[in-house]
Amino acid sequence: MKEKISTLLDNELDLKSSSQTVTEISKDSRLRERFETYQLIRDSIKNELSDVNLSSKSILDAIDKEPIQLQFKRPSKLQSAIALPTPSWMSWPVAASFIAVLFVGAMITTNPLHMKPTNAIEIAEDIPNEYIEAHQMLAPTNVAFYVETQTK
Amino acid sequence: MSRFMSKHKLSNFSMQRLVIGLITFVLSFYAQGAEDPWLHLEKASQAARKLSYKGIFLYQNFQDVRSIEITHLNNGEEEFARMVTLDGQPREALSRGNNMVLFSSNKENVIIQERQGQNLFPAILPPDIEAVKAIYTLRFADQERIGGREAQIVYLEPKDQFRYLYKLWLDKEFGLILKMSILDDQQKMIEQASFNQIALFSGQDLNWFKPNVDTHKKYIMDEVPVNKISHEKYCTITNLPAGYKEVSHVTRAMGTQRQIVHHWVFSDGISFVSLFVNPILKDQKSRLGETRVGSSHVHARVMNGNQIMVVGAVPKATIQKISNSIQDMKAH
Repeated sequence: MKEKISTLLDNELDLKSSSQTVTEISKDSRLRERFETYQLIRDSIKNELSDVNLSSKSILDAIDKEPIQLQFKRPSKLQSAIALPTPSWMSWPVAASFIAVLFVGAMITTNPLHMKPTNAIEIAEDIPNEYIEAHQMLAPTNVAFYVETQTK
Repeated sequence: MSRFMSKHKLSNFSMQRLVIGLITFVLSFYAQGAEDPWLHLEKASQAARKLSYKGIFLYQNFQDVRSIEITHLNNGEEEFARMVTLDGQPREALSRGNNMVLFSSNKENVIIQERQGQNLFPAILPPDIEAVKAIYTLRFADQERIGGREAQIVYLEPKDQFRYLYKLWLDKEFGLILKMSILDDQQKMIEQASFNQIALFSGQDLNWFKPNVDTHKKYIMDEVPVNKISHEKYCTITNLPAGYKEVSHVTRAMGTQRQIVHHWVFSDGISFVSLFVNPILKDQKSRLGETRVGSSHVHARVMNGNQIMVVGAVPKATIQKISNSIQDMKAH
């Protein structure tokens, strides 16, 4: 589904697939959140937000108001918004990278579990970084953003 | 007649006193309403979200100091914010409503991460401060200048040992939090943030709302793991510290662990604590003890073959109580 969302944002889905994808987004709150995040990234990177009306957020507004078939059956303002010309720096593969998800968590976890069938580890000696990182991803704190998850 | 007149006058006098008394009461009632100190805190909460402002503040905790540039715009429908760390490795966050995306750069890559919520300074107070009233008392203190603006100092003093003390400097005119200090029960600083410069702006131009990243670098999406639904009743959580409520519960894969981890987040409206529960596999070590990482306390123990881990920037007593709140744990 992630691939579909990213392809939808890049206006590369055919009419039928677009309708199906938007239907699925409209039914699932998590997909909707993901769509919003992707469009935030895409819009911010492409700097399309100077005209909010031309943002793909409008798709979500349309989902709220009407059944989805309306958006992709005519060459609307929305569709043209999604099909904005690709800037030169798009050699940086925005949509492709949405699909190619890698896990930084594994990169920045400095204490992989040691697979020894012995007893306990004192956490003061072996900081459980994976738990701290998981906490920071879901808990909105200043520390999480400003200090403790600096790229390592 | 004169008797009547004097009686009548007396009656008028009494009536006047009654009316004056009523007016005084009504005025004092309204005056008390206007002086309700919690209104100042509500104003501070709203100001951080509804005003459009740009400034630079210094953020520090035990071990680090960072300068942060913040631009926040409310166009009447949505909030947009960009926060850029000016020290160390390039790092910035863009948020639109509740969606936040973090861009961090190293030599080779730009790492893009999703984040939850909007409780970053100066928007540290929840939109609804009713929950805060139940667990803190509010005290007004002196006035000071912060970042070139007059500020009223207020203390949010915890009613129990399960949270830290907040000292806040509120802009006298607009209510925005210009500075905050989080202090422990020994009055030691846990975290601090303070504007060096701050200015309000009007207009809805969003040209600033884009990350300053090297687009020639490869970038990596680091997404919040997909919630893996578990229908089994794993445990019961009871007797949390006063004011703490569950704000999320996911079951997820995490780090290098092969097993599913239950992850709860609890909050009292200001602080957030994570509780993790997962079975310990036969070839894994369990973890025990307590430690501190920056502002966060971490507490680990084992119960019925399950690893219990609690993490949060809260007092040690809170972490311990949340760890002990688990009941009816399924054995592994």
